[in-house]
Amino acid sequence: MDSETERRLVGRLKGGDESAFDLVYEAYRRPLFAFLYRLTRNRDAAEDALEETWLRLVGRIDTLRDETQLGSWLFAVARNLAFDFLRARAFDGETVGNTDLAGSLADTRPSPYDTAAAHELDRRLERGLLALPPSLREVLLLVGVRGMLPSDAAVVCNVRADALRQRLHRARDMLARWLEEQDRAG
Amino acid sequence: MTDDTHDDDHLLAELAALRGPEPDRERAERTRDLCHRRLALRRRGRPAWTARFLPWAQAVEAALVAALALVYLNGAVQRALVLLGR
Repeated sequence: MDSETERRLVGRLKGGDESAFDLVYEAYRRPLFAFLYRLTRNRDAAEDALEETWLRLVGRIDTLRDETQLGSWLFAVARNLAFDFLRARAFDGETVGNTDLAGSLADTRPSPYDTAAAHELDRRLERGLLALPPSLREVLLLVGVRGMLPSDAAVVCNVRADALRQRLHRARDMLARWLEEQDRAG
Repeated sequence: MTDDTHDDDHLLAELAALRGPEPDRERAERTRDLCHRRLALRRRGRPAWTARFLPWAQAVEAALVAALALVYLNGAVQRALVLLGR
């Protein structure tokens, strides 16, 4: 969805246009959910955050400027909600960091997605992503999985572009090392 | 291009090819309906937050109307019985 299209859609949403909402909803609900699920590793939390993201869009549409990039705005809201969840879990006494995340936040119920992710490479990458701290994982999810430009991902993560690039470099290094270790161990 | 860069690009390409998890379809429909209701209220100039409570408000309104109708009918029946001398 290009920026001009998004700009027009924001204008229509401000007028309460439901068909404009449907276009945005269909374009972003799956990538937003995938981002939230991989960030929180909790299906219920991801579903809750996804719903709240859409409710905030329709509730705060007046605060969006015409030049607002809708995709970045949606991912930023979703990202903040996901980190609220991670912080709350950490506050409740569960570890949020590095490989501990795999044990503490992983939803133990096998989801349809887990069942479907049968491909070995997919599984390795998913486990590798899970091994990263959330602040690095989110960068790979936005730039690597979503295909966002680093400058747009910096807006989502609320950091400067050069800081985002540093994080991206660290995240790629860490994931590559993790995959190599798995190869050696396996 | 260094080997590292090549490896990095390869890694990003693999990440881009990852299949994504699917959100729950029924909940997605409920969320869409809720957002539609809020947008409809917006067109009518009512605050969006009332959308979440609108079904409850309609149910309460219907119950109140039914209760008032019952009270009125009860009074009317009693009045009719008095007029008939019973």
